[in-house]
Amino acid sequence: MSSVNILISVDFLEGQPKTSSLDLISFVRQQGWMAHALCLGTNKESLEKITETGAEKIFFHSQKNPNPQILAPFLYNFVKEQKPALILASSSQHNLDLFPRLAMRLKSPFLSDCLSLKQTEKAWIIEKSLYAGKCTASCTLESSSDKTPIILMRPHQVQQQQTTSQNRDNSITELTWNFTENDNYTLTQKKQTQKTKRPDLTEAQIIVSGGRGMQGPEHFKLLEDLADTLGPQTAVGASRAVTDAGWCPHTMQVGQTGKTVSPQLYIACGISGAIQHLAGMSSSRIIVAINKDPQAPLFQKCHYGIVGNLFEIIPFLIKELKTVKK
Amino acid sequence: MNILVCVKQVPDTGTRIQLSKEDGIDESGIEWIINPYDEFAIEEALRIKERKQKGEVIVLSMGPARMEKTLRRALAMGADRACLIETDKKADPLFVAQTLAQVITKEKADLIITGKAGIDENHSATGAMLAETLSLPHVGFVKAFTESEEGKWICERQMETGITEEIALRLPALITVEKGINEPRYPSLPGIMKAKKKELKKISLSSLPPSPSDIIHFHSYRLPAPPPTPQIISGSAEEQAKKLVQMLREKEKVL
Repeated sequence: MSSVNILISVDFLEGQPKTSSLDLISFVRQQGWMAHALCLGTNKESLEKITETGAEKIFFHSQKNPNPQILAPFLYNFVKEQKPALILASSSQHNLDLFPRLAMRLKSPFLSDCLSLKQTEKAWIIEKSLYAGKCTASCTLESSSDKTPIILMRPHQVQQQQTTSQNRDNSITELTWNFTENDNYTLTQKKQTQKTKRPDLTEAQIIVSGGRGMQGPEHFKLLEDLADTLGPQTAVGASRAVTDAGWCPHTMQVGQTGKTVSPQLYIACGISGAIQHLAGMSSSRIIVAINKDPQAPLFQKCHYGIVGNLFEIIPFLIKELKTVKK
Repeated sequence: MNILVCVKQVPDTGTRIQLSKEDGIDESGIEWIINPYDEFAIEEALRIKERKQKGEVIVLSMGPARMEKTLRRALAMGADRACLIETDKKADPLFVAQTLAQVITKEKADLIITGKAGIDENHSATGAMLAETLSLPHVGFVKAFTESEEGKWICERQMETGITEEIALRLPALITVEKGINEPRYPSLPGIMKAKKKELKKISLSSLPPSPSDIIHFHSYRLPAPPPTPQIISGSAEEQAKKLVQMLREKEKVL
């Protein structure tokens, strides 16, 4: 059986490959497939982590043209030349701007926000959650097809095993793509607007989330303090009621019209648990509900529940966490 | 300025999804609404038209006959006319984009707006695919859209990395919009009355040239695992906090 070649498009943040992309490389290697990495907008010096993770062929370009309309034709030619069996990337906003365009050019099957990927004798089986997690379904794509499927995975669905590769003979190729500029699309400004160093909700290992029970925007400081105590992998989220009321920006909303999250630990504070919120967070591994109303629907959907006043409980939680960390 | 808005219909967010015997979703009890992100798209189009005081807002969709209700609502909000590519066929973004493009090329649209994703299958793909097949530039996830000079618009968007991007886009172009870009209006009573007389053109899918790509089909539908048996922690606030931390550390090993 010939080896299966998978092309992984790696995302970079501040010059370093994102963990979610490295996870994909490790995952591919664990399946016994060949992992090749496409690294756009990075230099040769930043590829170390990728060689360590064990990618076979590494392709890089120091520029990543921000315009997906310009980038897509280069990717099209690259895919036609390399003929990977499948393209994998994280379901990030930039990838959701770029890869549907590539899929349209290639007339390739495209799936985003996927949960799992496996191969049978003749096909790829991909799992995806629908209706923000209210149900899950699979789709089967023939692997003999000449159309390279493009699969964008939800972050943290495949966990990286902390093994480094023995494989040291990876090849590194610099791509010589000459982008021609056009003036119909110009990235004019890029600024870090969220001062917080917290991870994005979709990538966080732990989420502390607040609802109407927080009683006002000024009390979200308490959740920020709890998040600080829980560590750098913690993000702060909110319910729709709270973002609609303007207490928090919409980017913090967890639920069907916000973000679908699946952290290791989800702590819901003062959130009753409307169905559209449950849809967005029910795939979290451990759910904790803190609410003064014992009738809150979330108490039926959580692993641990605390009926009580969150303004009393959270400070004790912070204190206790600090004690055990010492 | 002519603006074309692509919309789809989705189950209301409060719907409890039930599975059918035929390995799919049981649609019998579902209340269908405009995809919430597409509602932002309609509102944005109407606001631009109102500021410009000229041009048309055309709403386009593809799907079964029940879509008519959604399109009438868009007309009641203020859209000028609507077009439905009628089919009972299940389609995927690639198929939808190619089909919509066939109708869009016949319209003279300066701007195409759609929601950033459908809240049903959450592909986030149709907009970008449509832009590609129409050879238009596009910006996804736009949360503010303002004209800087004639034909040139600034798109602001918030990326998941906490970075805000500003992109200057020259029309004709396509954008997909994010929640927070506006607050969609409710149709007024006179709006609802007027909508009944507005043009709603129906085109049968079979009258269009076939799309070349295969459609992705889902199977093996399943509901999420039953919820855990909740463990309610009792005691004083301090005891509750201590017990919780202990469980999370020692039993669940998530801390």
